[in-house]
Amino acid sequence: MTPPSANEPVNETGSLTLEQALNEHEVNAAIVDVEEPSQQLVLFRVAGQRFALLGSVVKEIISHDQPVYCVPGLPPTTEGVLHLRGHIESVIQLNVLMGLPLPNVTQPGMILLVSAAGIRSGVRIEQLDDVCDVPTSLLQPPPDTLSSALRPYVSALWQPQEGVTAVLLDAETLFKAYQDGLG
Amino acid sequence: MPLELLSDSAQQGSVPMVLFNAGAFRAALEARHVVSMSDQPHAPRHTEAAALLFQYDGPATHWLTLNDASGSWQLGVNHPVTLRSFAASELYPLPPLMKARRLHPALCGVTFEQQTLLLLLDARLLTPQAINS
Repeated sequence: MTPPSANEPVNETGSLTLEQALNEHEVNAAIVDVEEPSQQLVLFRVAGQRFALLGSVVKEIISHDQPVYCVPGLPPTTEGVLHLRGHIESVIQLNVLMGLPLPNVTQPGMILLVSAAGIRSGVRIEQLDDVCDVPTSLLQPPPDTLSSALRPYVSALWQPQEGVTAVLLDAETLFKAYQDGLG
Repeated sequence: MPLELLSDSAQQGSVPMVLFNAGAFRAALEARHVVSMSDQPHAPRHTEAAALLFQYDGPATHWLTLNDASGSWQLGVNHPVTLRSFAASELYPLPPLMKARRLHPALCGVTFEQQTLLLLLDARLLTPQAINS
């Protein structure tokens, strides 16, 4: 006698074997497993490279036409200040800190308002790519091949598609390094 | 040329400020630190505000007299020099990353005069020695 296949009823009344019932439970468990922990990522580019920040640290995405007021007596990577609904926010560029070329001044790009390490600041980006939820299991540890300038600020890598990799940045480490005079 | 700053302009919850140009920027000092204003420097210790902001742009047109622990000294500024009170809510401290990276400690905040950014300078940290160092 041939044993019934996976979820095929044993008889015409529709009853299952114990094995089938247990298998079905595992299928259901697998469905629940899809709802694994995920993190919202804000994907963007700096100097043509793809980066991401956790959605939890990005408080606002600011359009390129928001005026930035230049303040003298600061390093070139400090662009100036934003006057945003009664608050003043600094605007910085992370290019030098991450070992990347400086942005093209004729294409200023957008600004991410980032809050980390008890500090809030605007961060200049070249372009915004996406905001999406990513299962935590798809985040990979940073490889040893990352440049030494970038490595201290990278918490993970994510491949949104074949051949495309986004570098997940640690905003807290970036801000602390900038505050300490790097970049 | 006395400024006669504090008699009429001091209002509840506001800060009287002396506004001036320094290089390409407009800046302000708390008026209570400004003793007087003249067209020429006469104090032995004097320097120009534009040097503080690394924005030297020609000779000063006015000289503000201030005091520090060593006595009077003069700060060279450019016209127009005006007096205006700002509500405390209009005066913003420098954001933390900028405070950490500023090249001179006297740069302490910003405000706006219409659409123009105004740099707030702490007169107590604005000494000729500090500027020239």
